[in-house]
Parts: sequence; C-alpha cells; structure tokens
Amino acid sequence: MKKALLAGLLLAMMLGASFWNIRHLDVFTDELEKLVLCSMEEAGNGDGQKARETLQTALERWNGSETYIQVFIRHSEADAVSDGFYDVFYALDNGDENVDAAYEKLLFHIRGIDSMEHITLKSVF
Amino acid sequence: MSVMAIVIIRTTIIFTSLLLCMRIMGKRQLGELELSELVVSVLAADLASLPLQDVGIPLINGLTAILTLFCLELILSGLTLRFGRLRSALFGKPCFLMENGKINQREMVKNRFSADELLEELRCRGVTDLTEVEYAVLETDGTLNVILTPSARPVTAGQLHLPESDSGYPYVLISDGRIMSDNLRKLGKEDKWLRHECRSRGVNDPGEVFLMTATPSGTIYFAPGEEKK
Repeated sequence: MKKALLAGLLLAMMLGASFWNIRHLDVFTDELEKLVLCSMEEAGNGDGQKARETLQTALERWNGSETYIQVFIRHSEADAVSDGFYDVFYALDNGDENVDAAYEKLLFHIRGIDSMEHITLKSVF
Repeated sequence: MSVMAIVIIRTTIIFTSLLLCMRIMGKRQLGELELSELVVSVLAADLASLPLQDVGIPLINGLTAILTLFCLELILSGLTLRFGRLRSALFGKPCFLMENGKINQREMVKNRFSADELLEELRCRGVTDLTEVEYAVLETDGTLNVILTPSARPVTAGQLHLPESDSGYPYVLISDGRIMSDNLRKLGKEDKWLRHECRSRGVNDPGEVFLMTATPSGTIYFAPGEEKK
C-alpha cells in the first residue's frame, strides 16, 4: 500500500506540474502576444523601425526560452512560430502590403500553442 | 500535443478503457499475465515507441505517459491487495471448468471454452482421460490447473511409507564453462573441490564443462562440453 500511496503522490505531482506548465505557458504567450500586437500597431502607424525593434524583443524572448520550448512543445508548432517571426521581419523589411497577414499568422501560431495546452474536451479527445 | 495534463488524462482514459475491454474479453486472452500487467505491457511498448519514431514529439510526452501508466498500475495493485472485492471485480475469480469430475458447462460457455479446447489444455498437462480429472480450474491469469482424482494421482513416498529424504536444491556450479562462485559458496564447497570433481570425471579444466549441478546431499550432474569443431 505504501507503494500505491507513493504512486498516487507521484501522479498528483505530475498533474500539479502540468498545471504549472499551463500557467507558465499562459504568461509566456500572453507576453509574446502583447509585444507582437504592439509591433503590429506601430507598423500600422507607419513606424517600421519601432515595429521591428519591438518584434526583435519578442523574438529574443521566444529564443530565450528555447530549452523550455523544445522540451515541452511539439517541435512543428515551435518551428511554425519561429517561421512566423521571420515572415513578419521579411514583410517589414520589404514594405510588403501583406504585413498585417504575416502578423495575424504569427499571432495565430502563438495563440495555438497556448490553446493546445488548455484542458478541454476538444483537446482531450 | 505537448500537454502533460492531456497526456496524463489520455493515458488514464486509454488504460481504463483497455482494462475494461480486456476484462470483458475474458481470461482466455491473458496468457500468463495479470490483466493490468498485460494492459501496461501492451500500452507501454506502443507509447515508448511514439516519441522515438517521431522526433517532433517531445520525449517528455512519452515519459509522462509511461510514468502515468506505472503509477496507475501501482495504485491498482495496492488497491486490489487491500480490497478483495475490487480484485474480484477487475481480475475475476478462478473458475471450475470441471468440478468433482463433472464438466461445468455453464462456466465453459461463460469463459468461451469449447470441449475441444478443454481436451487440448488437458493434453498439454499430460491428461488424456477425462475420468481421471477431479478439478480443472481456470485461474485469473488464464492458465488451467488440473487436479487428478485420488486414483490417478502419482504415488508419493509418504503413501508407500518409504523413508523421506530430501536431496536438496540442485545448485548450478558450472554453466557453459563459467564457475558460479556464489552457488559454490552456498553449497559450502571450494574451488579446489570443484576442480577435483571435474578431474575425477576426466575434465581437467572447468572451462570445458557444459553443465554441472550439485545438491547439498552430494548428488552431482555432470555434462562435459562437446568438442568445438
């Protein structure tokens, strides 16, 4: 019975760690989303340089959590976010008309990571 | 899906569903494993291979799933050890396919055992005459245990009032040329004795012995190695 109790404790700890992971990812993606939205607004106001700098900050934040991302997030999703950043940079540097679409795509991937972490009937089944 | 919680919930759901399915399928599917052990072995092998096949899946997902399985199995064995009713509900009870020499047809149907299969199982246990069987018990792990009628049981030394002597457990002393020092110590013998026994049987080097066993009472089985061509 001692082993069973220890196993129950371990299972509870793993569940606890998973909820901590959800909370951590919530904060992390919220922060990224805010920076990307800010950059999008700056680009919309015609301040390309400022938009680039803000986006660079967001990318640095993303790259700074590389180990966490590689350990906990499906690699294809992580790659999609990284590609999204570079697509926005490319659009900003070339004065692309579709810069808003590139921003939306990046935001979609960031929100996708967060929404996948949440426990819903849809994600379980 | 890189979610630890989802992996835990999914694993729990799959584990429970498989357990239920296998329970409904009956003991015949189990072989010699306990129900939960079989479910764990089937699932663990598959879960472990997923992150190995697809490097895009974080390894932690596979590890979490396996750890969850391990925890569930431990919890289940702890609970079944404490609560007998839960054990019966999950793993069932031994069934008498034959009782007092009579075939229990109801139990046979319940366990989906045909007469041919029963005869086959009995033959596997060296029984060809059904009248010799007093009990045939289908255990919870799926094995069939046979208890013969008193008239068909082998005669024991006690029944014949013969002096009972236990020669003891035969220890393996040399296996494929390797000396089992631990067993030699358990037998209370020394390397010198072993070499002497080998020499007395025409083998100078224990490395040339295929198998040698000895009981505490001194019975020795000796098989020299065949010459390698």
